[in-house]
Amino acid sequence: MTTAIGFPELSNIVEIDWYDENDKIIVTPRNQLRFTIQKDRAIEALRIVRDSERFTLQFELLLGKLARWVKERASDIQTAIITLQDNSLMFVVVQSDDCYDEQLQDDLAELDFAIAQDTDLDLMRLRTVMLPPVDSDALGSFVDARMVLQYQHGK
Amino acid sequence: MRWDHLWTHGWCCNTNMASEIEHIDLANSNQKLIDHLIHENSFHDWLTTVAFYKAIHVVEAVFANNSNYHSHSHADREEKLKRTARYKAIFTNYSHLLTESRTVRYLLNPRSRLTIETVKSLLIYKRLFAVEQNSLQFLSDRAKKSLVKIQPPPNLANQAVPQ
Repeated sequence: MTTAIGFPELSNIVEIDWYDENDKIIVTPRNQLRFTIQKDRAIEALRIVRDSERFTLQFELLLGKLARWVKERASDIQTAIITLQDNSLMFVVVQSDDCYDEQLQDDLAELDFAIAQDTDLDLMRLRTVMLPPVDSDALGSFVDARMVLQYQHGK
Repeated sequence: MRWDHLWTHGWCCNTNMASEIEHIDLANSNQKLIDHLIHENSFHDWLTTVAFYKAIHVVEAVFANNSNYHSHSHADREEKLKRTARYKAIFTNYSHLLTESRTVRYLLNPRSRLTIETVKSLLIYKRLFAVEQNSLQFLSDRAKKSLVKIQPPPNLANQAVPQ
């Protein structure tokens, strides 16, 4: 089966069947620069696009969940940051108080576990870390400058 | 030093993944050092770190016995614990050891945070003890018997195991 797909809109459904081996797909974009792609690669590309959209939705859901969690504990938290570490998202929570906050760590572990178990967040890979009050230099060693989202209390 | 030898050759290098019993042996080596540091009543940062590494080996023994799974990183281990509902109690208690060992290893001047007494009461006799107790149900009979367990002092012996 050879199937032509017009981008960006599809006016009807075009079925691409993985079981039809060795097929290629001819794609005619709006600029008419037609190209051919192996069907398996086309399916993989479409899957990536779909997952990318799902990832964006899940990421927004996750940000909301984390913001609510921080807001409920605003007095115990000096700052909270979403960043990257080892191909995961990292949620860094800095305590307000110098003493080890056992309850806050229990709550953070509970949140971490709940997110990992949440099927609506199955694409999210999140790690968490709780730190004592630290200066910006020390905090910098836990933060990847490529992505730093800092929670502002009350927002 | 036997601990170092087993760590580097039996587990870390992936040339020969450690079995459940080998992880229990490594946990027991760490327990000897924990006992020594408790006896010395000093080096709270090292006590925290060794407690965390004992917890790692108890968790890896659980994985080895239940799914023949071997973690390749700390992140990998956390992910496996969090994605498995029945490991929730292990994860919660393990997270305290992870957090504090990271603090003493990577932050300057963390000495004011936990004293040797709070490391013993909070991290060793409560959280590491809970990691062990919650892991026992997932270990083979041989591993359960071989594991040298934390023995809380009489004044803490009757505390509830955190779930």
